[in-house]
Amino acid sequence: MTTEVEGGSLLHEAQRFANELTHTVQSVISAPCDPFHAIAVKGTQELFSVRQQPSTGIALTVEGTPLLSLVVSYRCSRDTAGQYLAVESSEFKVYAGSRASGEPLFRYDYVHDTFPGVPCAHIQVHAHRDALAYVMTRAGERTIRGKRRARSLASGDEVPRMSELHLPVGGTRFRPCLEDVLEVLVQELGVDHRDDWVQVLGDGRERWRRTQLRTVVRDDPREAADMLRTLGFEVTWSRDEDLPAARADRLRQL
Amino acid sequence: MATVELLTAQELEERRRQILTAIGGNEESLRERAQDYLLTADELAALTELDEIDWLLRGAA
Repeated sequence: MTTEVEGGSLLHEAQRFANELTHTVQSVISAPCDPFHAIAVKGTQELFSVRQQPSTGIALTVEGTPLLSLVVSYRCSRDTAGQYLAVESSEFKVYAGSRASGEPLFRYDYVHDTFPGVPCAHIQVHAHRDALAYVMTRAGERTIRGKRRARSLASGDEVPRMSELHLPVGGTRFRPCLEDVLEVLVQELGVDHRDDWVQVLGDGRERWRRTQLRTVVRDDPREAADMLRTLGFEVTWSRDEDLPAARADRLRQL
Repeated sequence: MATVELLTAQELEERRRQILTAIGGNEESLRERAQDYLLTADELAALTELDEIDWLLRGAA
């Protein structure tokens, strides 16, 4: 229950990460929320897990009424160089009801070593449309989307559709590419494909991500330069003008 | 502030036994019903903890 015991560095990492998650959730959710809990293991490999408390999920209220629950878990290790924290897997699951049970409405998963044919980072929508429509009708009127939906319902329109729920997928820089959608069509839905489709999609995805990588560097060149120095490069700013500031708008955009 | 525990393999194994005892001891049945999304909140929480412990034990070997 402390950070100052043997394996201190790993515990420090676990504590820092769990504190960040706690701060994020407690700073957003107005309902009371317990701190996250981390477990590290004494052994041959440096591993720790972090998850929300209570174990039945963080109860979420809408206009004071318990409506949903959020389950968050991370499994972390040192990276192969032993230098950085690496997330091996993460799960963010949203359930109807204030205690998570049964099937989630939807989930965001990341699994570093995923099964063949399954994207390492993906969204799964479990809910029947009625279940999602129900929680959407209960969304209150304190947000733009909630107000619009409430007006629509009050004017006698149909109940909300699943298509009205917009799930974020990485923002401007880290969004999926066409190759990702083509791969879903082939892998999951069996769309007829050419023999070399895997190679073609891999090549295209690599092109896309290299382009995005260059763009992301421009969003925060100082951060990129710092990392390059860490990796052993010599990086200096050689122009007369000031180093461009990080584009916080891009880094913060949903 | 978040809480952190540093556990040994023996402590993880003991916790695993306690969780199984608390849910009646039948892990196979628990996992079968999990496949069909039929777990109560307490059962789902227990299964989540069992899976977490199993993963942590990988590093405790």
